[in-house]
Amino acid sequence: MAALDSDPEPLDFATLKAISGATDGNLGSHLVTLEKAGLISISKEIIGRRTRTWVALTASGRLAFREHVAFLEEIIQTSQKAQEIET
Amino acid sequence: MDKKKALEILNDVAIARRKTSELRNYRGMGSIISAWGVVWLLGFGAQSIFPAAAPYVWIVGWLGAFAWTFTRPPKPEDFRALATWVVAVLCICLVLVVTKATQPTAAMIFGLALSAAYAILGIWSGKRFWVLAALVLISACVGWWLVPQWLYLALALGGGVALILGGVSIRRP
Repeated sequence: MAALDSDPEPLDFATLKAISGATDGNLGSHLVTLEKAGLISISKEIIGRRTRTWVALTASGRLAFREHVAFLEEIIQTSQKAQEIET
Repeated sequence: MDKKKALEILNDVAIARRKTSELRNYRGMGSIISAWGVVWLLGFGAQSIFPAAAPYVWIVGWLGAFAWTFTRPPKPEDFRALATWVVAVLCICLVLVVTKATQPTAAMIFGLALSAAYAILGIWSGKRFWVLAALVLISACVGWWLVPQWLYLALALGGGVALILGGVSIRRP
């Protein structure tokens, strides 16, 4: 999700695999789950005898991811403020 | 979720973003590196085999490669990247004129400058560019010190072929 969010263009399966370090099967099952949730869209491109899989964040996926990152940052900020008050 | 876990996840997000950015740079630069490799191969190849035709090959090659570099995606956001290139090349040319450099010296200096350019690119855009910097540097040094009579051929085959193949392989994730 982070990789897809940082690139405005769709990313191909091989690039996502290199970034995540996941196996084909593991990455594939994660992508299917995310697609079912409407967070990403998957398209196939046929190049000669090979098929290239492209993955892109949907608008709702991008929003959900950014909200999640904001939530994580908020946890850190809240924790830091609590520590400052204690000291 | 506690602060430690949140920091871990944000760190993973930052790593994924950095890797994506590096791979995007490699993907964008691949064809540009190969284009400069072709110019390097043809230019120094001509200097070695058909010296009279070499200036024309260089002029056409440089113009073509500049056009390719600055029109292919990812296009630079403004004129500063092109201006940086032009200033660097003009500066090197002026140094060569002022020092009255011979043709082999000029070839060596351009080899070293290209190697330095890839090394700097490696610092900013991804470590794979260091491999290209090393290949160009090695071909220039081998030509200069080990086979000076074949300097142009060493730069053509070593530097040019390395850049062409490097441009193809650097695109791979």
